[in-house]
Amino acid sequence: MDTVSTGDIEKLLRVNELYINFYTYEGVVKAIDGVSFDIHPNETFALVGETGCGKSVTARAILRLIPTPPGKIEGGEILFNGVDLLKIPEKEMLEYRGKKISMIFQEPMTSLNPVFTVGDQLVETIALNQKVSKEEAYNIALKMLERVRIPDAENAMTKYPHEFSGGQRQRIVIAMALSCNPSLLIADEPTTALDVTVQAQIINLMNELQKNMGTSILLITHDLGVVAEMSDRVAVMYAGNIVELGTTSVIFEKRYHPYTQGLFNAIPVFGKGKQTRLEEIPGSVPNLLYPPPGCRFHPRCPHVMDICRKEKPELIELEPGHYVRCHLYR
Amino acid sequence: MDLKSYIARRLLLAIPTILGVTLIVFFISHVVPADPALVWAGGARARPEQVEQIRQLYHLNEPIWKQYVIFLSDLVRGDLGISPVTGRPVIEDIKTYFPATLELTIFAIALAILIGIPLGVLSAIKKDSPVDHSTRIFALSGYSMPIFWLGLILQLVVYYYLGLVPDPGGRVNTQVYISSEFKTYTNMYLIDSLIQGRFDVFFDALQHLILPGFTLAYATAAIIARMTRSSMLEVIRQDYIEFARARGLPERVVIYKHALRNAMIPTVTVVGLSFGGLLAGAVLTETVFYWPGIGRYMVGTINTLDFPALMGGTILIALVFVIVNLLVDILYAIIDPRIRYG
Amino acid sequence: MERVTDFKEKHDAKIKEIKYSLFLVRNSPLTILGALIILILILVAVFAPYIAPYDPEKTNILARLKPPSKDHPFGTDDLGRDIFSRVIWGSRISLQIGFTVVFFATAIGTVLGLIAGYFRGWIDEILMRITDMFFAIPSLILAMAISAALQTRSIYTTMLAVTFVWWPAYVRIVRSSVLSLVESQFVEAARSLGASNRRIMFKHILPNSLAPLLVQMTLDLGAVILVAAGLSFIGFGAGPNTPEWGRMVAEGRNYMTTAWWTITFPGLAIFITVLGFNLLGDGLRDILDPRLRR
Repeated sequence: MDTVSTGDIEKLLRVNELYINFYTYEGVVKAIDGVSFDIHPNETFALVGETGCGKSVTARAILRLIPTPPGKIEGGEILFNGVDLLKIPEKEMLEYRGKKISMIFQEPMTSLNPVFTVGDQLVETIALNQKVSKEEAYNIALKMLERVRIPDAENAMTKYPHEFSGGQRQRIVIAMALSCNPSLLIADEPTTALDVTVQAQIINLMNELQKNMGTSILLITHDLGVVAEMSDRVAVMYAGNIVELGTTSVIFEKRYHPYTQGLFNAIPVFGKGKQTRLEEIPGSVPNLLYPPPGCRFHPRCPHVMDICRKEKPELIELEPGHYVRCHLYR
Repeated sequence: MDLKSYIARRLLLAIPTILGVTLIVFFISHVVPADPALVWAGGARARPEQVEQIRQLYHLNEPIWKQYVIFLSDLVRGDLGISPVTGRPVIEDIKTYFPATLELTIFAIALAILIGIPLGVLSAIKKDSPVDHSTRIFALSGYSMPIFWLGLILQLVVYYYLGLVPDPGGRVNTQVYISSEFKTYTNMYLIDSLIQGRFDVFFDALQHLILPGFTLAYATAAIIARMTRSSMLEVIRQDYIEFARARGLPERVVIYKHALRNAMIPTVTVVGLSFGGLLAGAVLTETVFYWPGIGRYMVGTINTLDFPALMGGTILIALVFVIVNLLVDILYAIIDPRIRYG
Repeated sequence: MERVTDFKEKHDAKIKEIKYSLFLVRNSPLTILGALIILILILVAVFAPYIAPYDPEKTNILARLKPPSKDHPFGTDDLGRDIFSRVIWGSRISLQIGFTVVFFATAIGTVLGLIAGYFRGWIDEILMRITDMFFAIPSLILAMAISAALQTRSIYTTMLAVTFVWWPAYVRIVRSSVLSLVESQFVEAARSLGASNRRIMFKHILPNSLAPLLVQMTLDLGAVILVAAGLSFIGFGAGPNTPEWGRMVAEGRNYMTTAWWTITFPGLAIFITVLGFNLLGDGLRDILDPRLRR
């Protein structure tokens, strides 16, 4: 069994041996294949990988937002402050969603309901989650909007989402998500849909809020630049598996797993003297209806060995707190 | 643009449509091979000079295009003419019959909304469940039901066999209506009775309304249920619904506040579009229930070739249609803030 | 062996599509039910003379208003005609009206819709205003006026009247799918290769708007039969003695309190027929709708 121990550090969230399948008309898609990781208080933890590697599914599973059917959580635990979120009734889940754990999504343009004012949606969230009166909720909402630096917050409350730009909408979404002081914020590609300049602003805002509010962030992204700027630790996902996990600095420096290497070679690197040649990982992301046997990366791996085709590698601790799932390091 | 000028512009734009409708109906009805004057004068036994007199009076000797011009110039002056069959001004006939139809159709639409929306929501959130399948069957049956037959079967079962409602035929029990001093202001009995505090008349009228109301409502309820279902299914896949859940809103709020409001946008359009079908249904419903409304009146006018009445009824219906569509567009803009009158 | 894999690979997407369609059909018992109803209906209509036990128009005053029995499964009407035989023969009339009206309305609407959507401009504007007018007046009332104007009452006047009110809907449907296709790349490509307007319209645009058209036609077969029955019911349809379902309900109406079967069976026939077309059309829509194919 894969175990990822993080020593004595207290854990906010512990995902343990998570398995998720999707039952489609074509067959069973084995989307998440035994994923485990921890998130500590006050840290930013990133899940990185290509589209379809299961990072978003993992994030949604934490809030139990996987549509069932077709999705089904087949096994594992999601411990939040020691409570297994997969075992509590749906009603109790409401005590976590939006209160202790918040989530923001990729598309700020579509995350807000177009037919209600921003104020209405903010006040509703706060009043329902914090059990305060509408007036109190209104005041908290105003403060939150100011915190995320929406100009003229009072006026902004009466506007509809379509009257804001994408960056402003993402700020509003962040205000909504953080309004109840959650201890964990799940951010699913929070900057992908934004312009580059706006991206930087949102990243700075999130970093700042995290520092001030003490919220941990689970960052889902495919953008290594964002990872570098925000996260303390990183897990690299491929085809429903975590293939490498460790601190951001070690991952960026060492890149033990062949897939991690490929991922880094696929992006242009600037400011490192010579420009490195842009490489692509050969092959394509496997169809998880029929996942490759053994290591799921073996069909695309430049260092593939016989054993890779037969046996799924275990997570190995190469350095303290740094794990790799690859037969190369046995 | 503000609301008032928007409405004014829309009504102005509707004038050519309504004129076009009168043109179509006028030419279709006036090319009849039979001699309407003869019918109006009382058939074959009528004296020739009397027939000729009627022909003169209604310009039937003029060419059709000239008759249409005369009709238009009268219309501009607000004159719909006198019905050769009832001998009354058409406008008076409309005042008598239209409120009955209005009461029936409004009641039917309200009923259809009350039945259709909850069913649509329920079958969307319980997609592919037995509830969903039953709703689908209920709705497709509504699309497929011959409305006149449904009316008759309901009469047979609910009135003749079970005796649950009063005699189908008319809008109130004539005894109640005549024997007491009941005033008619709007000629919509539900409203008139409430104004006067006459609850006996109110319940009597309601009892008379329930069967024709349901008969007429069924098809529309089916349309609303199907449309609500499919737009709900579309809406609950949207990001803002997932975000609403992630924000910790209870499912009740997510569905009935956030999803339903958005799902209503296409539903409202469909209700507007199905209004023509509702009016057609009203013709059949009124026939089956002896309901003294404009639909039954129109059947009569066509049978007796009562041109002035037919044209009056046509203009009225086209006008109602235009107004309903205008209301739908205004409602649309109220539900969806992204839409502005343009 | 080589060839088989070649073929498979080449048509992989197509095969997947078809497989998925079959999957959807299999998972939709109501669609199958609808198709079955229509199939049986067509068989009954074709073999009516062999199935019907009596002459549908033969009166028998001695056997009037007889309740359903072994001799008369649906009973007899006020003139002693066998309702079962009349219902069977009625299927011919309803199907005839349905198919004729939908055929002509589609033909007219498709041509005009193609023209309106493809050429745009003033011709589009005029056609759209005309369809607006038709939508502003309930089809049943207009059809009534036309039947009245035609004076004679037969199923052919019904067909004519209903066709006259039905074509504008098809102009709208075809036009809107043309509008979405005209801008598409394959039309651009065809145009740049020098294809003629007519060729582009009939070879490229029309085949691609067939799916929504097919769904609409199936649903309309039911709707047309319903309107035609309504016309007959209020006396603007088929002439006396014709075994038309709507007319049979109207004739039975006066006797329904003592002889329920006079209205029940013809009405049920209309209902089941229209339901069949609606089940099939509704199922087809789900199967052909690319938005629902996820």
